[in-house]
Amino acid sequence: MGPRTAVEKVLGILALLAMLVGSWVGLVVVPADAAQGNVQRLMYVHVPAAWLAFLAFFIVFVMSVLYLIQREERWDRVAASSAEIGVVFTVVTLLLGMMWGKPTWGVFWTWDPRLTTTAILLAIYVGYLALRSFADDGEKRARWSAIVGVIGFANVPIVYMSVTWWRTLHQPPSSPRSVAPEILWTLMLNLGAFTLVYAYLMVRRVRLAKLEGELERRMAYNA
Amino acid sequence: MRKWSAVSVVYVLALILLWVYTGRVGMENRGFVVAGYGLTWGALLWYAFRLESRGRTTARAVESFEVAGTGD
Repeated sequence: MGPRTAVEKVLGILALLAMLVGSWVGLVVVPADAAQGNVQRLMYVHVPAAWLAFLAFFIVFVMSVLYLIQREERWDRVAASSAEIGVVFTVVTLLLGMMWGKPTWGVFWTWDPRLTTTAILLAIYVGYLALRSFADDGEKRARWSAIVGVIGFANVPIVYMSVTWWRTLHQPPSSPRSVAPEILWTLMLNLGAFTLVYAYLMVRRVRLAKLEGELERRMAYNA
Repeated sequence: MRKWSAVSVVYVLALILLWVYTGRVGMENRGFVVAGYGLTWGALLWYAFRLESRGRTTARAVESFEVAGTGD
């Protein structure tokens, strides 16, 4: 993929440092939650992972719309890269939720609306990636993926609103007014760290996508 | 590969350190907390290194076309 550029190096170091500080504050500095105790510390990684999954799929949506309008390959590359990273964040979100759920609810998994809609979200974007690996023709693959990227995003607001629309075990969204300042700042710090990680992974993944496109062109030329 | 091995060793040591620390401060449910943070770090590090590995493999494949003189 070639050596990292100076910007990529700085972004990578910043992301790593921010993650280290965020984890340290979440695990050591901030006091345990009065109601849930120490297991609530999982919130500082669970919530940022979920937000970043939403952001990643929002980027897929925007890039898919742009592709369908302009038919430029670069939009498809960014959409596919963001979908892959979004899947990683969604898997992390679900597994962290299970680890938080067991000591809090007594079960790792229950068919609760928030959990179920998140599992559907994961299935949609795994399907998106599977679709890309099945289609041989580059233009067709980009077009089909863009359609799935646009339609699939409809589930994101459903996941977000699921705790409001249905009766659920999952806690409703908290507002900054209802959360202690130290919890809020720790959450914001980790959100910033996860965003830097997403940005770094995106830069690297898009470069890889460009290279994959080049390889595909050369293989087609050679065939 | 060497970088990945070094990072894996640091990762395992950090997990052990975290396990010892949470035990010393008497953190309840520490298994879930350590597993949660371990999983997050593990998944992100694994993906970042996986990208690098895929990048190297793809770059080699592109170069092989250049060497064969079939590229541009």
